[in-house]
Amino acid sequence: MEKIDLYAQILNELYTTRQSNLLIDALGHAVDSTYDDKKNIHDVLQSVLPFDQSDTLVEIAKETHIDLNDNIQAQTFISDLITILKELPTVDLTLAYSPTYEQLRSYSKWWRRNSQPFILLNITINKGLIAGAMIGYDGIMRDYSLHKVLGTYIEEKHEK
Amino acid sequence: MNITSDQLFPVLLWVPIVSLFINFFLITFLIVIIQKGKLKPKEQQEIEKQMMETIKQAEQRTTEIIEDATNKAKTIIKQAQGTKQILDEKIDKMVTDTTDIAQNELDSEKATIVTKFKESYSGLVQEFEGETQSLMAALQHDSREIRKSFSDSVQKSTLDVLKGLKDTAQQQIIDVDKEIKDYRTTTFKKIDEHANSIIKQIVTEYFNTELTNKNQESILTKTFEKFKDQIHH
Repeated sequence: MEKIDLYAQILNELYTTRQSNLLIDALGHAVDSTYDDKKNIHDVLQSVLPFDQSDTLVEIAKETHIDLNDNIQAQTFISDLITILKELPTVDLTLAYSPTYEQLRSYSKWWRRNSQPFILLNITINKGLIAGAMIGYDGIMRDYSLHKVLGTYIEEKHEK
Repeated sequence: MNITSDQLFPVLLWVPIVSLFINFFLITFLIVIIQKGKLKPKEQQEIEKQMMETIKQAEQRTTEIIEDATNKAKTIIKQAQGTKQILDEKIDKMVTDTTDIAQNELDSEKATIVTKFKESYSGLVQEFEGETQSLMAALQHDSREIRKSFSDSVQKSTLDVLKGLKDTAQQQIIDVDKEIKDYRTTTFKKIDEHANSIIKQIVTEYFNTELTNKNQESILTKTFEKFKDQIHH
């Protein structure tokens, strides 16, 4: 079992790079707190993360026999997660509208099904695209926007 | 001292007149003297007689002298007149001769001069004619050369000017053509941009109001599928 799979429960609920960056920042604070003996890591995690994420982390730690009260073990556990988050693959999506959370989840599932298991969506909004999206993945960039289609159509019409 | 006849003639005329006046005064003087001695003695009468005789002789002598003088004067005058005439003739002759000589010499000299002049003139004329001909020939040659040179120059200049005009005109046509094309391209581009902008604005507004999240999701899913197909191919 790879290390990334240990954190699968957390990673499965992360769809975007924005979520990932917020989690990295929060985990950074948690790592910092491990150097302070007066602070309790559980309390810190609950204060910086949504309750479902903090509960999931505690549950994963239990399953992998990691004592979060041990500052060193806690530091390693959290730091490993930060490293994994920073190395997750991403796909750049420029959308013409702001999708709902459910839609983000749906898109994420599609990409994880069709590319890599824990890929993150790097979402940018540009209403000028009208509809469709500009997609950048693995060094390839494609414009499938209605704006592009419309522009091409006008140019072709002009050339005729 | 030389006395000419013209100077002597008026002097001789006055000699008899002066003699008459002298005799008159002498007679008058004797009469006065006689009147004063009327009652003189015989001797005195004798003396008076002798005096009268003397006067008569003096008078006769005077007359002779006058006549001689007059004759001499006449002779002198005559001689003088002859001399004058001879002189006049000589002078006239001399003048005539001199004039003739001078005239002849002058004529001769003139003729010589004329001849010389003619010769010189003729030579000059010939020379001039020769030079004139040479000059004319040279001038004609130069004129032809100049005319030819000028003609060539004018022709070349004209050709250059025409070529310049042609080049300029062509360049201007090219420039104008380019300007028209540029203007047309720019104008069309602006029109297209404006038209595209309007079309896109209208279409964008239309789709933004008409496209729902559901439509967007559906389109996006199709887009992902299309991207997947392109990646795999």
